[in-house]
Amino acid sequence: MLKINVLKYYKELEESIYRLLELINTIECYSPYDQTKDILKQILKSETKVTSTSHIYEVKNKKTNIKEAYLKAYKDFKKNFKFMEFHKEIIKENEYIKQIFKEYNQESLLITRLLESFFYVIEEYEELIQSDEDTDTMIRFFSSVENCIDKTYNTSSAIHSFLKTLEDEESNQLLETEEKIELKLLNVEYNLAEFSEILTSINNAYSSISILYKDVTINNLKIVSLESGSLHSILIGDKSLIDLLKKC
Amino acid sequence: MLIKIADLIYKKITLEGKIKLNSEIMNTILNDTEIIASIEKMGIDTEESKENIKAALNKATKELCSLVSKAPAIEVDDINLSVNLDNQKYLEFSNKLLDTKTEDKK
Repeated sequence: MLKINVLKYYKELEESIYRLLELINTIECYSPYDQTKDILKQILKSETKVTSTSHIYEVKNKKTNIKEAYLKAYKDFKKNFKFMEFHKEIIKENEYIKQIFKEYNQESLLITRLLESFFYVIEEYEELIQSDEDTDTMIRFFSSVENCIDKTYNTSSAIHSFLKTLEDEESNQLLETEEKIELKLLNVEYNLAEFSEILTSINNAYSSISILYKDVTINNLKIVSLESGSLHSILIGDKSLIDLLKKC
Repeated sequence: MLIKIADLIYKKITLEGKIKLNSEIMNTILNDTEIIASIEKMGIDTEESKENIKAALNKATKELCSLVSKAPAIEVDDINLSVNLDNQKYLEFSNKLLDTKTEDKK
C-alpha cells in the first residue's frame, strides 16, 4: 500500500475508534461501577468463611443490603442508558470499519478484537435484561464494559502513536537540495525567553551565511521537530548551508 | 562550524577556566581551511568575496558562540561535545584557576 494510503487508512480507523470510545464512555457515565467497588470493599472487610467448595461472604453490618444496592444502581443505569441507540451505533461502526478494510485491502486484528469486545458487551447486556435481579450477571456486564473501555483506550493510543510516527517520518522527508540538522542542548532547563533566544541564534547564524549566496533564493530554516526541557530540535535548511553550519 | 565552535569553547573552559574570547574564535574560524573549502564548494569565489565571507562568518560565529555558551553540553546529530566534568571545578571560581586541593589546605 502506498504511504499516503497507509496514512489515510489509519486516520479513518482512528476516527472510528474515537467514536467507539465516546459510545463506551456513555456507559461508564451511568455505570454503577464505583458503587460496585464500594460494595466489594464492604464484602472484603466482612468475615469470610471458606468451605471445601466455595467462599462464603458474611457481611457484618446487617444494614448493608448488597443486593438492593446493586439493584438500585442497575435501575439508575437502565433508566439512562439507551441500549438501542448504542447497539445501532456499534453495528454502524462495525460496518464502517469492514468497509475500510475492504477499500484498502487491509485488516487489523487489533481492531477486529476490539469490535468483538463491543459485541460481547451487547451480549452481556441482553443477558442482563432478562434477569433483572441476578447480581452475578450484573457484575459480569460491568466487567465486560471495563474490559471494553481498556481495549478501546489501548487501541486508540496504539493507532495514535503509530500515526504520529508516520507523520514525523513524512515531515522529515528531505528535498534533494535540503539537509537536516539535529541539535540538542543538554543538562539545562530553559525558560520561554531563553528558549526563544536559542532558536533565534540558530536562525541568525543560518541567515548570515545564506547572504553569501548573492543571487540565489535560499529557503528559510524550517523546524520539523522541537522538544522543550533543555532543547531538542530537528531543523531543515539548504544542504550546503547546513553542512557548513554543523560539520566543519 | 557548530562542532568546531563547541569544541573551542568547551576545551577552553576545561583548560583555562574561562570562555575563549569571541574574537579569538572568529579568527580561528576565518582561517579554518575546511570551512573555506566548504564555502568554495558552494560555488563562491573566496578571494573575490573575502570581505563578505568575513562578515558572514563573524556574524554566524557570534550567534553560534552565544548558543553554545548557554549549555554545558550539546549534541549535533550524533556527535556529543561537553565541558570536561573532571575539570569543571574551575568554573566555580570564576577566572581564578584554583583547584580543590589548594582550597582544602586553606
